[in-house]
Amino acid sequence: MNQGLSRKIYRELINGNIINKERMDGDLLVPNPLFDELASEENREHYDHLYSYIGYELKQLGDSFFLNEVGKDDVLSDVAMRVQTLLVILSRGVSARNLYTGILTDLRGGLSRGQIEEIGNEEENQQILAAVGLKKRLLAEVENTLITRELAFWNAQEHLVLTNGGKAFLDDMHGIRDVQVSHAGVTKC
Amino acid sequence: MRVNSDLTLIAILEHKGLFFQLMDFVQRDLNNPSLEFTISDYQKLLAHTAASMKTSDRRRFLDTLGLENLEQNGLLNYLDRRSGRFRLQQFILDMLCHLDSKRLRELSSAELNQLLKQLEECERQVSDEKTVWLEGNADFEEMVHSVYNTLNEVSSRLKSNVRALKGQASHLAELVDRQDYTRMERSEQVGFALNEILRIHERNVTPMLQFLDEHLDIRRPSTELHGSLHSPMALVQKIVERFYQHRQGEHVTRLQRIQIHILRLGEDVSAIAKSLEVYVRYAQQERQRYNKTEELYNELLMAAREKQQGQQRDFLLKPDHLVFRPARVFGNLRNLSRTQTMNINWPANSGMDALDEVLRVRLERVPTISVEASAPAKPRSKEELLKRTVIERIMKAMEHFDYGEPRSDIYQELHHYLCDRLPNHRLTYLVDALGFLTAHGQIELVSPPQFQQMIYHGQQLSYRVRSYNPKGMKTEEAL
Repeated sequence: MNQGLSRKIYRELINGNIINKERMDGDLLVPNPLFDELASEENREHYDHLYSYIGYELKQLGDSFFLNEVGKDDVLSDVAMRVQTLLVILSRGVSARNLYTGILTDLRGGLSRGQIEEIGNEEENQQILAAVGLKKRLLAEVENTLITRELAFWNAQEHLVLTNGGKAFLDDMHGIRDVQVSHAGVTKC
Repeated sequence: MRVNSDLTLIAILEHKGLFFQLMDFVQRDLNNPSLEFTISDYQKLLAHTAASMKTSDRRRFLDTLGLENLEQNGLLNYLDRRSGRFRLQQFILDMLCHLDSKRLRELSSAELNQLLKQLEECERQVSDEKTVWLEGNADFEEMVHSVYNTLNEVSSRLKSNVRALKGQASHLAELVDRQDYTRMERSEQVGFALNEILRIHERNVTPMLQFLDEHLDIRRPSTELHGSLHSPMALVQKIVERFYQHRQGEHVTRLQRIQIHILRLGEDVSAIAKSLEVYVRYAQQERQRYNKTEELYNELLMAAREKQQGQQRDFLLKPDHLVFRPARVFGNLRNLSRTQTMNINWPANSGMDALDEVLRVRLERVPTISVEASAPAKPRSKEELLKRTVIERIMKAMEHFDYGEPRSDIYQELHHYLCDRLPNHRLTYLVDALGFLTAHGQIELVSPPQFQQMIYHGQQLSYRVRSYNPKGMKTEEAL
């Protein structure tokens, strides 16, 4: 276990962020050392123990990690609710425009700010956003939730693309089988 | 003026573009799969092509490719002037298609079934007990011709089919691979290509693989001819075996050659199937995603509308609403830092500092807790055992320390005291011993500040001088 990396990991996780397998470096996606530190066979068990001793559960969703509080399994957070809402609205916006889901996950693709604004201006989407307490414009909420939590990023063309965690959640939501959800070392497909 | 067949065929090949245009027109615009052309369309195209030629070339071109000349050379299947239509001989059409693999048509399941029926009929002939297997016997000779014709036709049609599939598959895959997310019309083309891929995979590739698998127990309904349940390639094998049983070695060798050629096509079709697999999976996933997105979106919209009825309270959806079940994978993901009063104390390099502190505090409190309630746990490591032993030894030594006397340099005094009372005393023990004094008096920095150093057994301690005043005694400054 690397002391410096584990401190950075703690800071990310405790702030409710996702640690992804890859991160943007300039125009390229490069491996994320924090993910590698957590995912390494040697360290994974230690990190599971470390977080369980301080009352958290280290969870893996596809190629991403995040933290949950132990003993609150039945509680679904507002963040999770908002993430789902935003991704459902965006993916509906994509399919309604005869585009492919790949646009949301491919580094060369992505949704432009204009497209997101356009999706956000649709009346039905505004109804949904209001019902989950997202009062700002869709673009601002995307920034606040998806970008801040590292579930999405802006690529070199300033288009919104999902990170590993965002993609894993989208796949899981769509019932695509590749996604693996695991906690405390147990992996189910 | 009549032009001979050779030159006419060459002219057809030289102007194949003209025939491709005709084929495209009837297939795409008229949706007519029979490849029957209209005379007027053909003549219009001839005139248009001839317009740019010199006079002498134009005359020769029109004479050669004129319908009369094609008819006289036996290159037309029929020419019906009453309906104004004509059809080229099949071999001409096949030849033209062969020149452009995209025009080759894949064999459908129905056409494969036809080939199967031909094989069944062939197998029935070779199994006929009345046939006398003798060279020169007319029935035998006819049967042998029929067998070769059938197997060669099957082989040839399957081979064209493989070419057609290859051409189609690579064309469609190329369309999908060139996917440009920024252009909507490209996205539509990709959608068309993916649907086509799914179609040819289902309608052409899979039946072809079934056709070529000699071990496959095809669960297709038995053909109406003889109700054979054999797979096509098993029938070919049976035909070859009949020749073997009748010691027709030469025929067996030739027929096996055809059989191997056919079987080898299986590898090509498998490769095509494999190359399409990734696109098929992608297309299926896209369908699944589309359906799921619609389902989730509609659920969400309905739930939102139910809540947003203009009421003053309870108008927001809660995370525990059923519609948010997919988000359960995130559990209680949120910013946890607000719940923390302080950051976790990360252990320093050795990881022992925090443990030392805990042990020191525990030891101080020993007298206040009953023995039964606080039986110390057994040490877990050698280091811990050693540390505990040291603490116990310091505690024992400190039992006789005179806590009632004030000291001007407590480090120095304590050091001298422990040198006398504690075997193997080390400078690092001073910090632990100091802890025992805090319960009896006050330790504070002297003013003005003084710095001292002591060296003992190769260890050096630099420190700011601190004084010790027992409880109930006034400090020097106060005095």
